[in-house]
Amino acid sequence: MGEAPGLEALYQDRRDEGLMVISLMGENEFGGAPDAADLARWADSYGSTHPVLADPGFDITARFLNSSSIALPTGHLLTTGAEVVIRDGWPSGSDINNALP
Amino acid sequence: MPKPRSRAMFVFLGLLLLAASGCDQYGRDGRGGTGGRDEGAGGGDGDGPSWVDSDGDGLSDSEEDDLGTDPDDVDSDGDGWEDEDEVDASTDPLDAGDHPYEQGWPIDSCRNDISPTGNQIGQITDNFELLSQTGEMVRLHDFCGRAVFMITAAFW
Repeated sequence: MGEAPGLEALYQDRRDEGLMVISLMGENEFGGAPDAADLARWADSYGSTHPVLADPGFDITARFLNSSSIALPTGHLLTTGAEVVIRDGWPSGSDINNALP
Repeated sequence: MPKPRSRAMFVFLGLLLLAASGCDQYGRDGRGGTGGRDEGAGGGDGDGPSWVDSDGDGLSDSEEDDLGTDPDDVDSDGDGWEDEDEVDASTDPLDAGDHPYEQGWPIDSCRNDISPTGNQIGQITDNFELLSQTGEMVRLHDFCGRAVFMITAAFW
């Protein structure tokens, strides 16, 4: 996953401004539901300290999809109060700036 | 050279200053001290320090009384996190299933005030609770005080 180092860098750079980054993992390398060991192994591989969470079956991701199919990677941005700003897209730097508290 | 009477006065004033500074051991910044019950507090009768922390967890007995926590137990719910740390992290010191994250991820106090309306743009999305790389369950609404960027990708 080429985005992983960039995501952690984004988290490190902007968490003090009020940004949380969450990686959602829908399946492990065998296509099954990820367990904590899968998540830890992946997080360790990329030095990820932000939350890496299991989303088995992509159930949570499906909330934000604009169609019935998933095109990965896909991003979702919330502003304070868990308000949806971007779904099934990729936020720009200014989108993130505007969403910060 | 001071007269004996003056010297006695200096000693008396010195003792007064020491006694006054001793009161600070019961201040909230005094964690790490003895943590023992303030036997000299006079049980709140007004003739001793008003801030008593029997278990030394950083919360006064009065605060613990308000919270319903045990003033003689630093960890009232037995989840491994001291009561004050839970209060500071906006978690429930009486719920062993609710405590700060091992990784130090923030927990915002607004989390209990979120009323989901939907998952479309402009709506307030539902909470979720998902397994993390630490084995802890992480709740989305814990981060309600900040912007959240979620990414789903092909990780393998």
